[in-house]
Amino acid sequence: MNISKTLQDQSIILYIEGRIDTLSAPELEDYLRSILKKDNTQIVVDFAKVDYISSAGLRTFLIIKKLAEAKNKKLILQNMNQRVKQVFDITGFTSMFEVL
Amino acid sequence: MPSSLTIDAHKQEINKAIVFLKDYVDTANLSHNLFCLFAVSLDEILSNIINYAFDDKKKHTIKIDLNFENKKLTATIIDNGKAFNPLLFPSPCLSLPLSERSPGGLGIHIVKNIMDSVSYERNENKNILTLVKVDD
Repeated sequence: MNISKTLQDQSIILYIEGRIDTLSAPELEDYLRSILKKDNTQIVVDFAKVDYISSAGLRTFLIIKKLAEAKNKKLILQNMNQRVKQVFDITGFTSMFEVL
Repeated sequence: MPSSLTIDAHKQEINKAIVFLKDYVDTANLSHNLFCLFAVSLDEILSNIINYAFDDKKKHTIKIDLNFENKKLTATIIDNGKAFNPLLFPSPCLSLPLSERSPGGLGIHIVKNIMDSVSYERNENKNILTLVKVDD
């Protein structure tokens, strides 16, 4: 998994590439926690280059969503492929996030 | 053509299983989508086994068999941990609000939904889980 980022006004956009799974999820969580410490009010996560996500990755986004809400920050997930979206849909996670 | 891999029951070994799967899918010229669906499933099943199947500190192994036949890919995962039928694990409550959600039980729920069939048997003190999916 690789992560790159761009800044746009008060938003930080994160582009994730590869697999979000048992082995990569802890690294992603650490990264997202560090992003939450910054001043940006909105975090956008771009899934366009994500191959797949397992429940370990969902767990990470659940934790980060709760932390973001506690800090009044907005978390947006965008550009999921059909496979990734399917995992969010069948676990009921789609309705818990702002998914574009 | 059937192919097998045995890994140590350790989290870092999951990647070996994913590489094994990728090699198999590429050699058999199967779709990237099929690879991803099986990779998610292996990640879920192997991490469950590694985290919960063994109560002692002894070295354990997990065997993974792959076979593509009649347009279907079959993955069989075999471990000698304590008896556990993941298909009997209760489905997570998907309607709870965010504040009350916990991710427990999501893994097998995902596997059951993305595979065409999932079956379990206990034989000679081994858990045998079989996943099947057609390559569309």
